[in-house]
Amino acid sequence: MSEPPVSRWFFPIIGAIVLGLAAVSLILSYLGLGWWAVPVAIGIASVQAILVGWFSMELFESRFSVRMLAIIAPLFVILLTVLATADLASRAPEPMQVPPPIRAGFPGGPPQLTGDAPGPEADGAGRSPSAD
Amino acid sequence: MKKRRGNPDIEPGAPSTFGAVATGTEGDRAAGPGRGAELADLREVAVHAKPYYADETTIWSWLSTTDHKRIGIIFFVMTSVALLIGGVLAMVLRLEHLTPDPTVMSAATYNQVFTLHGVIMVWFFLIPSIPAAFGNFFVPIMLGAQDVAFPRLNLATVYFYLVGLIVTVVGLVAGGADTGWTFYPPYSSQTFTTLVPILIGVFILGWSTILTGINLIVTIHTLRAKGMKLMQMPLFVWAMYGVSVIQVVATPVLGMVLLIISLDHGLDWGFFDPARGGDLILFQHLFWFYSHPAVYIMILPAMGVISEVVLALSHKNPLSYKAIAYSTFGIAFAGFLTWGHHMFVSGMSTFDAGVFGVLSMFVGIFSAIKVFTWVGSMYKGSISLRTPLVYVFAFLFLFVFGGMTGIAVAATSLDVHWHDTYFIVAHFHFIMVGASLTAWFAAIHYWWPKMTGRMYSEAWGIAASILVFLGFIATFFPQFLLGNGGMPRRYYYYPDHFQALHVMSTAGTWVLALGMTIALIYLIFSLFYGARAPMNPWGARTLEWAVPSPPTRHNFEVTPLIEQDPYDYSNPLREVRPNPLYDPELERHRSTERSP
Amino acid sequence: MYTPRVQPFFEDLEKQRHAAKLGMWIFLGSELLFFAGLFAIYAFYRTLYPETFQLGVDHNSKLLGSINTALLILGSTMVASAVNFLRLGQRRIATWLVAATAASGVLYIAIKSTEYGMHFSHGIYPGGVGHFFAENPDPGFPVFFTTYFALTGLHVIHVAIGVALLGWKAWWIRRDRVDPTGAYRLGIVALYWHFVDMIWLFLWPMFYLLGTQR
Repeated sequence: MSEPPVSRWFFPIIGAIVLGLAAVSLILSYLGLGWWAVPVAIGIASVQAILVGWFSMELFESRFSVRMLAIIAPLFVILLTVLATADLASRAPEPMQVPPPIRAGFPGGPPQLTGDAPGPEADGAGRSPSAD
Repeated sequence: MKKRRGNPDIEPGAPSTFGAVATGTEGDRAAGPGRGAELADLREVAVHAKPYYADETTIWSWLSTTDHKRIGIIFFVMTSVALLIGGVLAMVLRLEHLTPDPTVMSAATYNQVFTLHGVIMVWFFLIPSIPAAFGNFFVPIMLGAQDVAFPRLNLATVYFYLVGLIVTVVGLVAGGADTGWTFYPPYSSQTFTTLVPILIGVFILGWSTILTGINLIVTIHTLRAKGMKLMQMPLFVWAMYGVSVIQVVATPVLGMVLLIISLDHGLDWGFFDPARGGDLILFQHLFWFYSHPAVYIMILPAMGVISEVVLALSHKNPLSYKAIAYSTFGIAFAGFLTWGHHMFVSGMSTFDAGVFGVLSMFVGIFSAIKVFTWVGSMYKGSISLRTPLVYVFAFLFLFVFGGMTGIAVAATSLDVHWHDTYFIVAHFHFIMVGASLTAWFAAIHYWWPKMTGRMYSEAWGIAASILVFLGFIATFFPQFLLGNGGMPRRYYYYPDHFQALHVMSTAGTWVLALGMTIALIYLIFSLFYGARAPMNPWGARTLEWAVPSPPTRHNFEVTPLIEQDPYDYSNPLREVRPNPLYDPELERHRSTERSP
Repeated sequence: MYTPRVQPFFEDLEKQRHAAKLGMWIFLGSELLFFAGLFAIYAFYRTLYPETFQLGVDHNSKLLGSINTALLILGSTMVASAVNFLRLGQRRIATWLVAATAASGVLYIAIKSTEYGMHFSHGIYPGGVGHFFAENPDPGFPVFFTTYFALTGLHVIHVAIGVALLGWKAWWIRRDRVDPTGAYRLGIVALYWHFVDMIWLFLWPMFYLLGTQR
């Protein structure tokens, strides 16, 4: 802000690039990218954000203290998002999501499973209460 | 020598107490030949400069002040009132626990009382107590500046705090929440008590916190006196810097959490309602992402005060300035990585529990570095055992114990047994009361002469500090034993065999309250009858001791020259000279035409 | 002509400008963290209900969302140019650009309101209320749309605040006949507008692009 002004075409060019990236993102959203869809879209958005931040928000002519801030704040957002989502992703399956085995046979004896209901030995992590 | 009028501190013939000369008798270099005439002119200005509280004395001048010192005093008074309210709630809580059965209130009221105790103490006392009061007052002076970067914003923070407090108290009176200060859903979405005013009150207060943080960070970056590099700032300023970073980063997340709970409770938006796809643990992630750094907001300023008092009253350079400065930021950043340790038993994955358990231990490293550095700084120092230092010793003892129990509960396998028992209550009270509150008392007693221009009674000071320390131990040490024995927290009824410890704890609160009341009395007494304070009663080296007690409206009429490190006790006290890069005529011109 | 005055406690105007800029950046950092909680909620629930979130995204109007994106990018460009023109001393162009940016914000709000209206007419209200949720009982839909309303609602409130600030600045440049040294004051409001734009650049893929067409 205190530095000398730049050419009158500077910001329109930056804006055109950001708009172009938006168009790319829009087109890509019609192609089936599968698992890559999220990283690509967020990646393009990040590039756009960096362009806006570096040029339009004048980080290119700012002091180090301002730039450091612009780097650190998003890192905290990432920290919160990643660790919270990691919790979800790393939880063991809830016990009752595995349907309890359907029993036949005498009480106290080994469960005799009917049909194709899974028993306690079927999978490692999800244990349904076997003794009741 | 001209006869001096106006300032009763100065005896005729004594060197001016105005910002150019310290009270040391061994002045180093005498002012050069040309300087004598300029200094004499500046002293003339000093004679007519009044203390900051006498600059204008109308009520409106206080309500609309942009003077950071007045704002600091206003915050000091407001946070003291909050302490009083929260403290009374605590004493009432402990009264209830005198017997295992209903004693003085119903179970529903009990829930409301511990919720409000937590809300008021955390947000309206502990978080602003040192930064908003002492930070606002002293950071500009310590940097050689005349005010903070945004004085009107500073005034706004006062009103945000006040409005937030009023709205919260309205909520209290209207029935008060009973969810605990942690507002966990699903109960917080469903409780019939009036939660929303309290959420709004804290949200408004959050603005005060964030804006104070912005103000302090910008002040530190842009208003340091010429020649003062970042590594030459006093350690208290480093602590304020660290705490401001945490405030700015963490408080907005709290704001979001409060907003979401308001929407859930008030409009039934069901963010965390399992029937509508929600997950309750997610709330806890968001809440503790703020609230764990919040506890570092409460302790970092306390550590900053301890740094100042230790060095001033040992009259010694710090063992390692950089160790303390870097540890401050170490704690600030490491504190953000540890929030999951509040959720070990809530249903979080064991992977995350392991990660957070390990990360939580790292904070202890930085705290330990600080403790060792302080103790090492005292070694072979010239120690004056005055009231602030007594509080510092109490801090060191209680902080180490509280901190070590923190490391203990960071181990998931141990926390499984201690979680939600009185062990945790004792742990965090050891830090919040034993460390933070104690450091707040140390700050009051260290800076009282500078802020008010009066000295308090040293004998009563030490007596009260001993009572506070003993009362604290009597209150909270039994709680470790209670928790270890299995007494849960926030429970209204308890088994009979816990009663002895509960009674001991309650009696402790009375001793603690007595000590604090005595302190209040002699401090107020000193305002009217205390001896006038000299400029530098402790013989300290930081810049606030080179301005009059109390300071004038603009702190420094002339920008000081920064010639030495802030804690250069290896040299005798020397004169703080005006910066020759600043034209005294221009300074005086600027000082007389102030913008409002 | 308006020339900003140096406050006595600042060394010079340069320091004062840097202080204002730093202060606004820190405030924007705190605003980013304010949105962060909702971003985390989105990421969390998307991991929990991946297909449902895609279906929910399909339900939003890609056309309206993309128009909004274009409006905000255009506005960002215009306001940055306005600061530049003010530094060049060309006040009239600067004033018009700022006013145009404010207008783009108003248009954005109008389109957003239309979208909300469309959701309401389909029986989608925040909190999982409405006949849409009765017809589509998958538990992921309520959290998706509640998160959608919360994030975009919070964003549109920020846009409204930005529009008000820009309108005020446009009027200020004209009334006070601001000279180039005062451009930094417009720059601070421009920073806020760029921030609002940046948040939307992430909201747009999250709620309009990442659907099942991929």
